[in-house]
Amino acid sequence: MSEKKYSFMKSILPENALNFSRRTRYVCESMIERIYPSKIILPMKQHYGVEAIPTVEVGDEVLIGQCVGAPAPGSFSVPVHSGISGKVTEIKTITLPNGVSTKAIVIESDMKRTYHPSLRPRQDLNVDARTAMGIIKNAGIVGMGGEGIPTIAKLNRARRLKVNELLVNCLQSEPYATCDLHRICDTPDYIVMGAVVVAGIIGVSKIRFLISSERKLELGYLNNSIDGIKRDYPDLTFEVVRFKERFPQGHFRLIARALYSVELSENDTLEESVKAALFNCSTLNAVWEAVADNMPFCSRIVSVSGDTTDGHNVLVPIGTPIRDVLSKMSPVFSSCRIVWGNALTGLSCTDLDTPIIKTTSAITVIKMLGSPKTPCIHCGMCYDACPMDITPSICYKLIDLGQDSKALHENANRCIACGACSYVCPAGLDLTGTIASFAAKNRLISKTNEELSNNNRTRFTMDKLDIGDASLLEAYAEDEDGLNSDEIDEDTIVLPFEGGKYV
Amino acid sequence: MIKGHFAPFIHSEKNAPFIYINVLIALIPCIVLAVVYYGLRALCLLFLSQALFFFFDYAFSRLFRSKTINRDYIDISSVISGTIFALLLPPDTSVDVVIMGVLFGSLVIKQLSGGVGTNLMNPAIASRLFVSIVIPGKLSGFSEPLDNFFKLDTLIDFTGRHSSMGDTARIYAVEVLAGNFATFIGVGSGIAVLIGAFYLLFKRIVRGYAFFGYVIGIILFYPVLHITDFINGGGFRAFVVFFLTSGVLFIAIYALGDFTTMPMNPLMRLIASFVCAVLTVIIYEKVDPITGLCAPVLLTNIATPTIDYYLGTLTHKEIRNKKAGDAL
Repeated sequence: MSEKKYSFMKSILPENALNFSRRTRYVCESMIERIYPSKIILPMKQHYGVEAIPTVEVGDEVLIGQCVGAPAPGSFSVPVHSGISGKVTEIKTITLPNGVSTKAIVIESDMKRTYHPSLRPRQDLNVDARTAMGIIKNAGIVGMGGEGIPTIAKLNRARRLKVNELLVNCLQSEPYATCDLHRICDTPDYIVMGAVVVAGIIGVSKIRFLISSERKLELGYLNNSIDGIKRDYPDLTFEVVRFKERFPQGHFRLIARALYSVELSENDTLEESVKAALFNCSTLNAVWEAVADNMPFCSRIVSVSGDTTDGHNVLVPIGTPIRDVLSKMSPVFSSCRIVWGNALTGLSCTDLDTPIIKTTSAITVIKMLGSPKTPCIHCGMCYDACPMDITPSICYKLIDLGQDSKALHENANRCIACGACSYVCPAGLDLTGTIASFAAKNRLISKTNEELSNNNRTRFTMDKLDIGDASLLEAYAEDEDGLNSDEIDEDTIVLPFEGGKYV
Repeated sequence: MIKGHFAPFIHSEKNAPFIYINVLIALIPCIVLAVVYYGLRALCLLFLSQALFFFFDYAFSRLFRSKTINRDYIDISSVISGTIFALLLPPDTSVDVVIMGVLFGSLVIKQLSGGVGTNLMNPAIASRLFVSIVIPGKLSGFSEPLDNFFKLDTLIDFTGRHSSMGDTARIYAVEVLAGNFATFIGVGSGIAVLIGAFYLLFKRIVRGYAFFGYVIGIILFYPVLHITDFINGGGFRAFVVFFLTSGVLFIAIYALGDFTTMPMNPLMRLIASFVCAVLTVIIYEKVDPITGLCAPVLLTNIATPTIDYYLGTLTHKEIRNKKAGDAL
């Protein structure tokens, strides 16, 4: 009997328009290509939350793994570490393609690749939960699958809400992006061990790995790894859950629908609704790198692909300019568009000095879109494609007519900006751009992010924080007492991901 | 503020011209059989209908909606409407019927309701029913297939020819399958229609909800209404002949497969098509064949905005009304 395959899909008839597994040319290289840039540009805000404060000055020498940005107080700020050794040449304000304006530290490489002395494998891996949380926070780990929520914040929430199981998201279904899949093939043990660590922190005994049934190579690696590791952890149960391949199955709301038959509203979380915590597989890889190798989050795998280049996965230091990433690829023609992210949800960028940040999973090089624009033909393909059950063509018209209340009535604010509607729209309408912008204005998460950036408490005016040349991983334990403080002042704001906790 | 362009930066191959061209490709078997059976006059009717539909749609949109339409856009759906309209005509139809039908379908049904994508009813089906009601005497020229390939005089015979449709009770099975009997020029062969239907379904140009809803409705309800024929014998043959030669398959794929005039929700598309099939079976033998085929489709089209509205999706018409209301 074939094993059950989960899916959020609602169609009665089969539809494979959003199955990109065949479109994504993926070659699992036996050795991943590493890129050593001549300089990196490290933004202080690469995640959802508060930007870090520079800890270095122009002229300072830095080493690989050294902290160059210290986190602001609270669990929604994470440190930033250098991925190369060299000299700080500039500290400037840059604007990323996603609109975030932040300070950035420019480091010129000395080409010596000197590691910080603290970066050596940990001798004693029997760490308690508080220590592990401290390591994760000080390693600067953020979610690598989506908006970049600090992992420490998700761990705190999962602990507080007492979740029952840990979900490991291996459902990478975007076109051309295969960095997570490569990570599964490259270091499956790290992912499984990262999951063991996180399960220990949040106090669950059940770990479920969510993966597409079409990704047979990755399934094999994952199963082998689990078989090897589970003997050492008899108290934990490991399960591999197969899903049908369809974009964007990896979104947490669609996982909830497929796995638990639960519809989450725009402010619901998996932790509250189904008592499960979801972590991306690459994030868990970074967790185990931090715990076992004492390595902060200063490099990541990025897919460099598209319809004009060969499919590559490269390991790059965070902050590497796109120019250096593309220099190793086949020639990029001027008629091509460079997308910071994947082709369905990414942002086009023309500045080749734009850096890779912690949440950049792909650099996609594609031909300029030449789809003919026609009037809406009421075909319903956008409705069929929309994973959130809204009717994009109607919402698009209502927003265009300025009828915001009607658009809200049509659930336009549920849009997750996956790009599926615009991808399938035969008329070539900019459905995603219009509806996602509208939804972002009306969503709590966006409002909160804006507040985080503008709040007096979180807007730091200091140019530099002096912490010496630490990697921050030396200071392990997470201060839970501080997190539970009931003292509230006028500047505090409430974070949705902290379940109403004041910061 | 976000810099650059919004995603997505790739697009499915199925844009509007791609869909329309594939529908035209699917219609090729019907067009070929029409020309083989009825010669040059069928070809002339097809070409005239396509050209006029295209010309009127193009001219009207350029004249009255030049500010709101993309000037580079060529509406191939007009050619499809012209083709479907022509394929539903008797072979001995004169050109004035085509002109009248196309004028009604293009200007009244399509352009006055807002143009491509906003028409309430299927233009080809509405115009076919319109000419059938207004000038029924000019739509009864059913000459036998393969009689004279080069005959063209019927195109300018404005008095109208009168010859009845072929008696399907007396033809062989192979003729039923091939559509080799006197009927409308392009819908007689169930095989030709099914080739086109499978092409569209296989290429996923249409999703099949409407097609299967209609076909299932016919298969389930026809025997119910003709139960005595089935008990007495001969009912099954009559059903197969009706299924393959009456044009219900043509309607199922080309009229109910129309995106614009059918409900957006897949399940409702299925249900609406099923109801349309039931109506067709009920009225088909009580009225002339074209009314039996077209009237249920148009009723379904008219019900579509209401279906969409009560499913929580406002219709184009509703939005336009709101816009007009806001303007007031």
